[in-house]
Amino acid sequence: MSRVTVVAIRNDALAYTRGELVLQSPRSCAVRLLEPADPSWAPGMEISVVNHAAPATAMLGLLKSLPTHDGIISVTPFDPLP
Amino acid sequence: MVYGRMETRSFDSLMGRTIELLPGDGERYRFIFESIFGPSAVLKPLDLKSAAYAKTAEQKAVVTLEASIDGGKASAEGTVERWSERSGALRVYRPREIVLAQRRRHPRFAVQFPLELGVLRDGEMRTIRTTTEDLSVGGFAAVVDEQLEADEAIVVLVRLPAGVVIVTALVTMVERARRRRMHARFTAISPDDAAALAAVLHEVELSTKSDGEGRR
Repeated sequence: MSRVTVVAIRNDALAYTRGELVLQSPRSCAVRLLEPADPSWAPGMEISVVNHAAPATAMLGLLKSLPTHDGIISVTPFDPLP
Repeated sequence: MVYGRMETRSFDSLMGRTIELLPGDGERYRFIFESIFGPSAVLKPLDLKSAAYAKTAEQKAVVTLEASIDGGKASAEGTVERWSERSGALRVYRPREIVLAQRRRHPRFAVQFPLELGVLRDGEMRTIRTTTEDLSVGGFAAVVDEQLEADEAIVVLVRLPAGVVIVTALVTMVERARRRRMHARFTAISPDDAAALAAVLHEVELSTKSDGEGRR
């Protein structure tokens, strides 16, 4: 599983949470969080997922759901800029 | 100088920048345009693969020279002169001009907004704080405290007067001559953030139109 970092804005600054990529498709991405999610997370907030694979990639999208019992969140990616 | 839609630049103006050399066999080799020696450009290899090519490059071989300029690609043809063991550099008869194949899509404005760049270092994300030197709806340029690499994926937080926007971006160019100036192209932005950015830049454009300054 690819190691990833979930990036969100917290107090007007970049904040990071570690995770593992468990699923990726053009329309969705699922990440298992390795650390507790920020309690202020809410569905619809913008987050980015940086895949540590070489070369690293970064995807921006909306948090679709809060972490499940096993810490999995899903993210709906934005289309890349034309 | 502009020929129709084709813009050209003096090749010598690229001194200090990274040049990619394409011999035509599908490979790309990376050099720094270090100096000028007579009719030739002195190109120092940036990696072992490029050094290996340079040492065996056929004299008088015609090669394509490519560079990133203003977020676009520029190219020209050059001819291999020879490898110089003493200087550890490949000399290539330099073209007079280089042609921008692809123009920047979005106008950039010389505006300064605080930036946070999320970069991956040794498996951990780190934040680099800096300020934009120029900004468009498609990307930005900034000076950073540490070396970034071309094609590096980064996360960008831009502090606009109306709030922050978060964007993902790809580093497109790092200017070696101006050691830590980097350019990046946005790869994804939310519709709300894109609108906020466009609104700010529109205001900048309106405020600079009267004196003609600010736009690059």
